[in-house]
Amino acid sequence: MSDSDRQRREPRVTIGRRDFFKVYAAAGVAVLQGCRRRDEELIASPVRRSTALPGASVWRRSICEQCGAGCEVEVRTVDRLAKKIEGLPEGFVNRGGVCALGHSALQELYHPDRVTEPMRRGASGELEPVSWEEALEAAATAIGAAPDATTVVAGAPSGPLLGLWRRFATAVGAPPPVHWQQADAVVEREAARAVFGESTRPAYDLARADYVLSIGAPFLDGWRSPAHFAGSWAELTADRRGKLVQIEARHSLTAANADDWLPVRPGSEGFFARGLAGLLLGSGTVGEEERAAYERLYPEAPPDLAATAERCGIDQTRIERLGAELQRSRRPLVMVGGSAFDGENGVAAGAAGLALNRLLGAIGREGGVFAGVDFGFEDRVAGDAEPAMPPATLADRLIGAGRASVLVVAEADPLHGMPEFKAAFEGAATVVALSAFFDDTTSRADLVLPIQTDLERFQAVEPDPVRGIPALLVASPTVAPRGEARHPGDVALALAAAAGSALPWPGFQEAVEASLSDAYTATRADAEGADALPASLIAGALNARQFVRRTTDAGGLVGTAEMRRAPAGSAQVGEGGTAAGLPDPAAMPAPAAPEGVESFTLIPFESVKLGDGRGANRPWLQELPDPLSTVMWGSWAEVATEDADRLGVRTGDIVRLTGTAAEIELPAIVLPTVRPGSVGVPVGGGHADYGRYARGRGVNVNSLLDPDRRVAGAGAYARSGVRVRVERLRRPRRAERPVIYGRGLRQAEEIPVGWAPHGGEKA
Amino acid sequence: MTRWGMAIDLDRCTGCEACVVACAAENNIQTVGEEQAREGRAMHWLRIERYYEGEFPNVRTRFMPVLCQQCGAAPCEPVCPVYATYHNPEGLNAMVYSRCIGTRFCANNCPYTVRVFNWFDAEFPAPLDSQLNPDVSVRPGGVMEKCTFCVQRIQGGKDEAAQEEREVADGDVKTACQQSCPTKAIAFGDLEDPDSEVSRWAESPRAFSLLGDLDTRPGVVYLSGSEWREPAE
Repeated sequence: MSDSDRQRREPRVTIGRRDFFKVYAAAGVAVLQGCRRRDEELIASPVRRSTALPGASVWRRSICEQCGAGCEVEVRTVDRLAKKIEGLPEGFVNRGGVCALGHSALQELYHPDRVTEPMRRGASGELEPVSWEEALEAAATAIGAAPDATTVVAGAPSGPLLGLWRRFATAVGAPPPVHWQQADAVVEREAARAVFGESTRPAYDLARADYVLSIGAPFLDGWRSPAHFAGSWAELTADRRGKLVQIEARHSLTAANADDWLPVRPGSEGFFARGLAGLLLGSGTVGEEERAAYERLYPEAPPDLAATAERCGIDQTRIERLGAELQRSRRPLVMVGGSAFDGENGVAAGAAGLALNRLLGAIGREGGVFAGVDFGFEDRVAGDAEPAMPPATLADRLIGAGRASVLVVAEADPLHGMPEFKAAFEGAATVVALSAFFDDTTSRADLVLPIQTDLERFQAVEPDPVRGIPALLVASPTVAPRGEARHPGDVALALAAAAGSALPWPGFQEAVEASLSDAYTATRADAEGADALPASLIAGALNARQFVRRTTDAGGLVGTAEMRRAPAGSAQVGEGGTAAGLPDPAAMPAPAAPEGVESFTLIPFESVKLGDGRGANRPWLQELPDPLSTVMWGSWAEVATEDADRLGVRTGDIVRLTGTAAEIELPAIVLPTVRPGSVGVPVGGGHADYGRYARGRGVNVNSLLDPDRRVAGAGAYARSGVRVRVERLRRPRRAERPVIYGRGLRQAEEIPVGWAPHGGEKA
Repeated sequence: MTRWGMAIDLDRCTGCEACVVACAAENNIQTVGEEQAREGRAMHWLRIERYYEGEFPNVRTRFMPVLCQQCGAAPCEPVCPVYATYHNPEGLNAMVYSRCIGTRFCANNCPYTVRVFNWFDAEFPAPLDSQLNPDVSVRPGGVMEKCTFCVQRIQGGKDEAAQEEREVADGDVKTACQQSCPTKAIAFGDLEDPDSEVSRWAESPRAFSLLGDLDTRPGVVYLSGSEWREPAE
C-alpha cells in the first residue's frame, strides 16, 4: 500500500473552530470544578493543611506562655512537627530573645509522660481513662452539688483566660477564683497602691536610665521577662554608659551581673530604702516638690546612716558612695521586686523602695517608672464577675470555715508550691485538675482533664507590664494537639455548659473575638468611654468583624509609646488617703532569731534552670548547669564559706535544714558569694511525680514554708525570712553526690580566685 | 576564601544559658541523665564557665561561654588516627562521625575541653524524638562530637544564596546560640571579610583569644573590657 493510499483510507481528524471552543470550554469547566472541590475540601477540613513540601521548614508565629512575660516566638515546623523555637526579632516584649525555659517548651509539648486523655479515679483508687463527656459530666455533677463550696484555682497569668475563669466561677455559683500566681505580683500591686495611689505593676524604662538601683528585683534571673530585661540591661551597660547596683541578700544572677552588689541582711530591704532616702534628703540635692511629696508619704524622719549600716549589715562607705552616685546621675531609676516583696514586711519594704523614685523625680520620665497598663481584656471577658483572689485565699478556703469540697485546679500546682496543703487536699471531696502532666496536684486529683500546651492552642495574652505600653497578643495553634488534649478555656466553657450554666461562646477563641468586637463597638459609640480602646487602634476598620479579623491576622493589638503614662495617682500622692496607713519599715523591729539555736535565714530562689518548678520535667533544663552553683540534676543548699568553715561543711556534704514543721536533706555547695547567716535553696525540685525527669529529683524547699506566714496586707504567702537550723550529716554517698558541672579548663569549683583562662594579652 | 568565625562579648553575657539550651535543641544533643552526668559525661557543646574573684562581700563574677574554638592550628586534628576530625577549607574543625572509632585522642588533646564522647547510643523516648532537627544527624554511641558552628545553618545560608544567585552576605548565617542570645552578645560571620560584624568585633581593643599563649589560632574571639588576670600561683 502506497503512502498516498493510506492517507486516503484513514479518516483525517479535523478540529473545526467550533469544536476547538467546545473542547476548550469543557476543559475549563472541568478545571474549575476541580478547583472548587479542592477549595470546599480545604474549607471543610478542620485541620489546616500545609502546602509545604515534605521536609521543608515552615515558620509559624506563636507566643511563649511558660511565664506571663508574653514573649513572641517563631517556631520552625517540619512535616507539622515543631523543631525549634526562636525569638521573634520584632517581638513586642522580647525583641528576638528567648530564655532557657522558653526554648524548652518543645520538650513540654513532646514529653513522653504527657496526660493525653481524660481520667477519673476509679473504685480501685487508680486513675482510669474515661471519655470527655463522662469526665465533664462527673465534674459538673460535683460542682452542681456544692457550688458555694467550689473553689477554682487558676494559674493563668492576668489576661483573657483568667477573665474566663472569673466568668466561669460566677456562672456556676462559685466564689471568685484564687489566682495562683507569683507572690510578688500581688504584693507589688499593694505597694504601688500605697505609693502611687494606683494598683499597678510598675513598668521600668531600664534601657534609658543611666543609673539603676534594683532592690531585690532579679530581672536577669526570671523575674517578669528576663528576655526583655536582658536586652535592656545590655543597652544600659553598653560602653559603660549606665550602672546597675543590686540590693539583695542572695547573690542572684542579676547580682552577679551588677556593677555593684550590696548584700543587705534578708528582710532589711525596706530599711535600706528608708536610710538611703535619708541620705538623699540630707544632701540638699532633692527638689522641694519631691521632698514634700516624699515627706507626705513618710512624715517620720528616716534612719541615719549608722543605723542603716548596722541594720542592713552594709559598710557605711558603700552606702555613702551609692548615695553620691545617685545624686550625680541624670536619670536614676529604682526597681523593686523579688526578695523585697517576699518577706512578711513585703508591702512596706516595696513601698519604701518605690517611693525613692518619687524622691529622684523618676516617675513618668524617660528612663523612669511608668504605670503598668493593659487593654483590660481580662475584665472584658470577665464581664461583671468579681476580681480573682490572691493566693493566700486558698488556705482560708481549704482550712477555714465553710471549707471547699470541690477544687477545680487549672494550670497550677498549689501542692508543690505549698506542700502543707496536702492534708487539706485529701479532705476535699472532689479535686478536678486541668493539666498536661501528673504534677503534685494532678496526681492526687479525682478527675484529670488533659489540656494543650503553648504551641497547640489558640493564644490571647496580655503581657506582663515591662514597657508601660498596653498590648494584647494573639496567635493561632502551631501544631495539632496531642491526644485528646483541649484548650483550658474550651474546657471551662464545656464545664460550665455541662453544669447547666452555659456561657455565650462555644470556645475560648470566640470569647476573645467577642470581647474584641465589643471593644470596637464601645469605641465607636464613645471614644472617651471607660470601655473604649485608643481610637487609633480601630482606625481603618469598617466594622467590628473586620476589626476582629485584622487584629487576629496581625497577631494582636499593640499600643504606642504615647500611651505610656505615669501612675494615675502620682500627682496626688499623700492626698486622698493614699499614704494613710503606709507602714514605715524603719519603724519595724528586726526579725528575732530563735534563742539557743544557731539558725540561718532561708532564701528560696528561682534558678534559671527550673523557674518556679515548671521546668523540672524537661531533660534539657535538668541537665543545664545552674549558672552560679554549676549544679545539674537536683537541689542544693548554698552555704557561705565562713559558715561552712565553722560547721565543718565541704562542698558536696549532705546537710539537713530543719524548719518548724519539716526538714530537708540535700547537698551543700560552698560559695564565696553567700551572705553568712543565710542559706539559699532553689525552688522547683522534689516533685512527687511530674514525669520521669522530675520525679523524686531534688527536694522541695517549699515544704519548709508555713502557710500562716503572710505578707502583711497583701494576701500572699511570705516566702523569705524563714529560720532554719543547718547541720552537717555526712559526706555524700555515691548516688548523693551533687552533679557539679565545669568540665573546665579546670573544674569550675576548684578554680582559685583570680584565675583567668587566657594569657592576659590582647589579640 | 571564607573563614567562619565568632566573637563573644563577655561584657554583654549574663550567663543566662539560653544559648546552651538553644544549642541542644538545634543540634540534637542528647541528655545523658543524672548518673552519667555525675560521671562527667554530659554532652553540652557549649558551656558557661563561671569564675569568682575576691571575697565576700566584694566578689566579682564572670561568665565565659566556651565552645569549640575552631582553631586554625587545632591540636585535635593531627592526633586522629582515622582522619575523622579534619580542617575544612572554610576554617571549621569538621567531624566525620562515620569515620570516628572513638579513640578520644582528640578530646585528650583539646586544651578547651570542648569535645564530648557518646558513651552510649542517644535516647530520645518517643515522642521527644519528634523534636529532632532533620538537618542534623543523631550521633551513635562510640563517637566523638562537638560544636560545628551550626554547619547545617551555614549550608542552608549557602543554598539560599545560591538559589537567589548571589554570594552569602554578612548576617545570612546565624548560629543557634547567637540567635537566641537576649543581649546580642554573639557575632558570627566571615573573618576574612573586613566589613563583617565579626571582623569588626575582632578588631576591638577589647578582643583576646582564649588560652592565646598556645597559639592555636582560634576562630572564636572574646571581648572584655575587664582585666582577666593571670592564675594565682
